[in-house]
Amino acid sequence: MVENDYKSNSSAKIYERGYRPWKRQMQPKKMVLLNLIWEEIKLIARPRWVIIMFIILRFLLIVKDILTVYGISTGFFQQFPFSLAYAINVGNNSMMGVTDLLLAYYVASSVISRDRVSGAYALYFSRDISRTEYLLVKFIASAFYMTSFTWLPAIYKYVAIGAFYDFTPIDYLKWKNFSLLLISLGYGVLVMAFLNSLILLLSMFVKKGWYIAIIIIPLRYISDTIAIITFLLKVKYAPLYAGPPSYGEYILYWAFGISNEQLSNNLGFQIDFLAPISKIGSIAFLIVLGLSILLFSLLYYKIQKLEVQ
Amino acid sequence: MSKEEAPFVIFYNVTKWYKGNVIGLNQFTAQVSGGITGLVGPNGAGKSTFLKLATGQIKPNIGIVRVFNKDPFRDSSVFNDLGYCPEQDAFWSWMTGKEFVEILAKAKGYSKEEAKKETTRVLKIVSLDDERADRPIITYSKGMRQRIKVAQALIGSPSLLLLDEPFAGADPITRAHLGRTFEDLRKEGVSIILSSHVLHEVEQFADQIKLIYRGRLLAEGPVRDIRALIYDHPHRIKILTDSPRELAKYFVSLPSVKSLEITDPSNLHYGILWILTHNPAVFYKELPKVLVSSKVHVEEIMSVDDNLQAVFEYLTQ
Repeated sequence: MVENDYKSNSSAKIYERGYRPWKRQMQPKKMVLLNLIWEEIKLIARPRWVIIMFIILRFLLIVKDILTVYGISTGFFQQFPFSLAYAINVGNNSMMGVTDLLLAYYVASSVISRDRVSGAYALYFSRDISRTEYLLVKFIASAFYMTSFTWLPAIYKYVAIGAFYDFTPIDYLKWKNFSLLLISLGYGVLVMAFLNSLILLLSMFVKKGWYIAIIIIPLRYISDTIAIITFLLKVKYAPLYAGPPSYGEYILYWAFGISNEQLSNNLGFQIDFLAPISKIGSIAFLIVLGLSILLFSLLYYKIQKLEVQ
Repeated sequence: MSKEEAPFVIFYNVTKWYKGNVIGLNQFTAQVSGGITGLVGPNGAGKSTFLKLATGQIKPNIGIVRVFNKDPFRDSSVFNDLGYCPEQDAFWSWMTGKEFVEILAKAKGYSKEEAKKETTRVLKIVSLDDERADRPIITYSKGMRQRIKVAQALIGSPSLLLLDEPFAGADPITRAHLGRTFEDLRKEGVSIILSSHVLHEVEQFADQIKLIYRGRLLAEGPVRDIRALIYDHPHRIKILTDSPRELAKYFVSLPSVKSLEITDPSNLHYGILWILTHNPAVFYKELPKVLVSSKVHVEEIMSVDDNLQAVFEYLTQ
């Protein structure tokens, strides 16, 4: 107890009022942020039933994926890189696949929205955690889940398709094959960066994660519809008009080095009206990359300006 | 002024408004040094805005806010030595109290093991270091929630605590316990700024009071000076009695009484004697003697102006 008694004729107690600088030795900032990312990953995984539901969904999708891979490999898709690109893009890990959206909804609603609704912003921002660090923690924690949901299918589809083409272990490790897996993983990161930025940004405006799903799911279907119409109209850059949800497969075709001719052969019909795949794919890649940077910048700006009301 | 005596919190000409032209603070200039400072004002006066600005939750539209000479909105390092207890519940309510405090201890920079120890320490301070700490927060009473919020603010033994309405909704036991906790912390050299819309909640242990009203600093000073303000402004006293006219005769000659008025509510057997005094301190000394000597039955005495709202209205006239 720090107590002065210079007022000897008074019963009043005068306590120390001077400021004593805080000198506690704490963990380095990097460790603090790593701890927080881990805590955030654990927080997203609660309640447990949601994660169990996702694991079950994931398992069901593995079954569906294996059947898809089997169909691709035994059907008219004969060329290995094409079948892998097609399989990677199909359904659950396309640019805005169903699983991604479900997961994105859940992650978004349990990351920033949760803090917003619960008022926990105030608890983060009254600690030595800057708004940039807060965003970093949230982004990495949700990226952990989103990337795992794009990487896992890429890996087992690579293994499964390889098996259908009678790959030996050496074949899997050959650079010309293995580089395709790395490209698939890189594609997963791109999907994550785009979706994560979009979803986290939206989650700053809505109170419930369902609202995000209501906004995003129609985008997927509108994109598909535009893709079909522009294809039927034989528009030269048809896939680009459909927007990012339809870009995934063309980015993969471009990255895998698939030509228009190979695409025509594999699809079984001529697409000679289309601009070169390399052009469409690279433009799609640049658009998605640019949008991801733009969305993340907006997210960063919003977080910097964020006031806890 | 030496470094030790420098104020911890400085607000210079700070104005903060919210959407819809709602003014939070209006050209507010104040500084806070050590000890316990009570921010007192009615609801919507700007107390929470003050604390949110001081903790970097929001930034001022105009003016300068400094805590430990740093801008709390831009420089988060200021929070190493600052604990904040928000007014609203800010929980992940499905968590247990212990988990909640532990996570925030990690956010403060403690390792896993240290966070556990620190959690036990702060929970002990607020008397929640028992099996209740392992229950989900959603099952907590309002008082327990207040304690948990205060506990998380104590993590890291900060020199400055900012507590927004820490007594709000708390039961008497919790209020008494929190009051003792704050006094103990002051003895350890911790400075505290706490807000309340009830003066008597904070006057027991606050060294300084700042009266805030409609976003402005109305008055500041030691508790006794603020209390004197209340006694210095005209008071109306309401006396419910079965003989108001008889009683009025005894008061009419008192120098401290400015005017008398009698009203007779139709639905009561009693009448009301309204007394206006310019000198409440003297009047309250004389009151018991007058009542005894009059031998009139008095049902109720109420000082209707002995509240902050009346003081604020008086000061802003």
